[in-house]
Amino acid sequence: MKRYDAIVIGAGHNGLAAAAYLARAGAQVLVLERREAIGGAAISEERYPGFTYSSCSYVCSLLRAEIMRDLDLPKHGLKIIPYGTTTSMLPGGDRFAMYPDAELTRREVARHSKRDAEAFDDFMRDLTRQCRAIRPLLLKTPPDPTSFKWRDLMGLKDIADAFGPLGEEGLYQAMQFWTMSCGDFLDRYFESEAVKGALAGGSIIGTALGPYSPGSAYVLLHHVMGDLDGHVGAWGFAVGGMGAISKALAGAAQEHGAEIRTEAEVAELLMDGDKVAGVVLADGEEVQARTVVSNLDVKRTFLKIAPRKHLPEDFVQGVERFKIRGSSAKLNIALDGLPDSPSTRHDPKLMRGGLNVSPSMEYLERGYDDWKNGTWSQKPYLDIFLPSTLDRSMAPPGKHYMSVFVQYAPPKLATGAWTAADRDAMGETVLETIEAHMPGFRKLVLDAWVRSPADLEDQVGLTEGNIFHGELTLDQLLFNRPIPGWAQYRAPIRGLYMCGSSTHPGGGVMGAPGANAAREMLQDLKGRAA
Amino acid sequence: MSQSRYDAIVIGGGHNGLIAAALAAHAGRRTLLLEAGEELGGMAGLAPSVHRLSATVVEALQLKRRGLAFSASAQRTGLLREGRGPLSLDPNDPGATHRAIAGESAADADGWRRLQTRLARLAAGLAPFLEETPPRLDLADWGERWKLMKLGFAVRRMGRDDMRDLLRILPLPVADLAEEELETPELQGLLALDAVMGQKMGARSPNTVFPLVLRHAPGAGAPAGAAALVDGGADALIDALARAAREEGAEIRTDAPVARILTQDGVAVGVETAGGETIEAPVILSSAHPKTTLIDLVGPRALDADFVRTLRCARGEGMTARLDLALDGAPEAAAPGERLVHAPSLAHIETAFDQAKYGELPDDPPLEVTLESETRAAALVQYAPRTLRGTNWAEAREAFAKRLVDRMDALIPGLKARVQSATLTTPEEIEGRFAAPGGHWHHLELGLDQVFLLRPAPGWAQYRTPIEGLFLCGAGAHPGGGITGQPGLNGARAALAAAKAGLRRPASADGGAQ
Repeated sequence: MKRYDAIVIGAGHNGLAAAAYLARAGAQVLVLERREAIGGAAISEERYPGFTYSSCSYVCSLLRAEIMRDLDLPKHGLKIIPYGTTTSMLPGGDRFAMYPDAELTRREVARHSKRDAEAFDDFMRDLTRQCRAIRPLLLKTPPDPTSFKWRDLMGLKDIADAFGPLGEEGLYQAMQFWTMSCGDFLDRYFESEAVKGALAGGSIIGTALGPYSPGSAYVLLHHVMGDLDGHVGAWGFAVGGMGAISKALAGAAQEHGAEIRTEAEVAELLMDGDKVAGVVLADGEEVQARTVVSNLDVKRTFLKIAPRKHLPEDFVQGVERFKIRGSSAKLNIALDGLPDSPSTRHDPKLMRGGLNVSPSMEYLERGYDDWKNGTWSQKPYLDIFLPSTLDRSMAPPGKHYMSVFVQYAPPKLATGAWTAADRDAMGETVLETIEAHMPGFRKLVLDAWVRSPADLEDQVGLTEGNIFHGELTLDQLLFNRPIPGWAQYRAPIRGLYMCGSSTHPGGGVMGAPGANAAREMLQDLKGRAA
Repeated sequence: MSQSRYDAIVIGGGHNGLIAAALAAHAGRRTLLLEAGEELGGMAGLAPSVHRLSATVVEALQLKRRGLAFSASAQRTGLLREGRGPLSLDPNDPGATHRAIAGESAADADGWRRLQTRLARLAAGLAPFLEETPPRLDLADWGERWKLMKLGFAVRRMGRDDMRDLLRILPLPVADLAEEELETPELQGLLALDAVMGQKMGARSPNTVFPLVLRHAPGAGAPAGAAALVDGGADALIDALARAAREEGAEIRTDAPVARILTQDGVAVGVETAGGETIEAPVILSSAHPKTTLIDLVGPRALDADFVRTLRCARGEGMTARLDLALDGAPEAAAPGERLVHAPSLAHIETAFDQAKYGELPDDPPLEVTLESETRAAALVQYAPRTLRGTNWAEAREAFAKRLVDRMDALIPGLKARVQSATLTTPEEIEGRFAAPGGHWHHLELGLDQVFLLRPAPGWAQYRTPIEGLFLCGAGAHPGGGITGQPGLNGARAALAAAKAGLRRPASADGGAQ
């Protein structure tokens, strides 16, 4: 019976990235996917005739350029169209638009506040500087600060080298950045609510924090890390939807000999004493392998699949305490035509970029209060895109696909579990909010597919519907992610690894966890082959 | 007629100012302390108990000999429960505490004890960070590098498990820690209120475990984590500190507000009092709020614009009021010295915070009520915003005070009947009375982004200021507020060391003060 070098549980983008890197290094790899299609949360689906939905993740923001290169993804059909603008649609038809051209953006800022326009350059400089410091750490394995092992000490040195160039001032700023709230950070530069609200959107996406919760400044950083330097592929749409990224990764993996099986749900691990020997599928089939790597979040991996009796008690406790808090919902909408917004009439090109409902800090903070009180935001933050404006393949001629990301929505409601009626009511809240900013929009709606956090958990397998496989808070970042002492992609069971977004550097369609995990596995596989 | 030339002038007669004055005088410096108000004590008078007073200060100033007496037992805490008697926690009697909690939850009885020792252990690990002057992140300077390495080793000495624990929980919302370790709502509420008291933070705000750990740092007169009771209260402590200052030879003037700190080309040369008197000294120690000290007393013109901007950005919005009750006798429900806490659950605290963060008065604010004597009670009210939305304190004050007394009567049966008068001290009044912009009783919020190297401003955590000879020694400096005396101690040490090493003198000795 065939024995693989590595089995990858889950064909999400990180699982596929790991598979591709492993196969590329000559390992015999098998990827097992529970669903009938690969991609996990990076997937394109035709739910309504003629329309392609990026039904979960919707923009390609953080995919590492190194991975694009290493795996030659363009050759496997990945084409990314950068999009230019992000427009915050303000009440009364005003707007605050951000352009790739800093000068244009500065002019927009000036429309709202002369003083803020002067602060804008400082803001961008400081933000860019901090992102540059973090970037090199994304594709590195976090060191264990409590260890005296050479590689950990070198890892700490890598961190020092990454932040050192910031200089004394920059270092203090970094310390503040990693600990303060986005709101307090923005208040240092700006006075205009419209400007602050628009910029703060990135600090709450996918996160169970308010814009004034300490720690949210880092989340902002996490979301802008991708779009600096403006190199192609930083922010954009994948032609054919997010599924195209998974397809390309799968293509790269298969080209190097990896096998991919769908509708192959893993029920448990196959153990040989205290080490992994493979997996057992839901239908009882056993597949043998020297190593197994899980693309699932840590709760699913260690509380559902891994044999508890082989896990240290404090590790299990760490997994149970790991914070995976659903806070987002998603709408995929088929439209009979292009909607119209008074905020974009002066410049129709703005329709081809991001369209936000994020008018002020208090708007966002009150949305968070609703989440804390067990209901979806009655006035939600919305991140809206019309991918079909740039990629005609997403919708039939003259029609349009609209992707709507919704913050905040709780995994459980104060009234109990999500019901179909709750889902419809939340959908209604969102559609009305869009209608208020795009008059006449609702008349264009052909299909509106509403997905609550509960739906994202049931259908996609995201625990609590959390899009990052775990909160991006300081207690769960770097060497704390997912669990202090277990941040190097290895699990307490010999031969078992993690490559999902629960691991460093976390969520977003980045591929870094997959690439990092593969690197660690190959090191061990070599070690044992020798 | 007092002289108008001293070696050192201390601005502010709060506990930190007094400590700094006493230490400067003890070092043989001719020292003058100027207090704006009639009374010494500053904000210390707002504190119902003495938390973590530095043992070094007690020792160095021989406070025990000078009349400071801790009562034999640390402060007891009663968790108020409507319709039931309070759940009583007595740090002096762990057995009784254990039994009391066991009545609610067997798991929590052990869990509470475990958590207390854990927090005390982690706080002890942080001690070097709290007690010493923070280094600068100037990596080119090998002296600073060495200090940083020493701190690094101090953390490693905690051992792997504690270090991992500390690095994980410091940035946690206290609510997460409470839910990890406890199941009794009142205990969760107490843990959270102890963490956020005095701050603009809710139970679910990240970084709130940090102030909780601070609370468990060792202090004089009580076991770690518990509040010490000083015989005679904060006033007695202030008397002892004033006695120490005077006996060491410092001159103390009350009713002597400072109008300006005089500088010549970036060097402090003295102060001008509100009375127009000019008093010269090469060393000025200010225990006043950093913004007051530098922006109001020195003035932006003598400072670098970026520094002023950074300082203005420092957060310090007061969120806590104090309600003083004059009683004609203690209600049966409460024993003098005990603190009674109204924070029935995490949700209760968070709801109050969510109202206050928008400038609204909470419907049911968490309370910490202390019976200071048979005839005096004080309640700390969390949250009371510095600035109210849609109204102002002049309008809202009386009604709020009345609402609080009614609420307390429901929680402490028979209290209202005893109340002769109730006086509310709002953050707005704290701001005015103590020249503390924002009215925050730690001067600046104790958030992770405003402590240690970053307090009061990044790169200025060494008590010095951009003005040569001017030093900070108040709550706005490291390690922050509470009656620890640490800022006064460290500030004085930094100033004395700098003076010893030789301070730059103004180039133009004749040039008039700017």
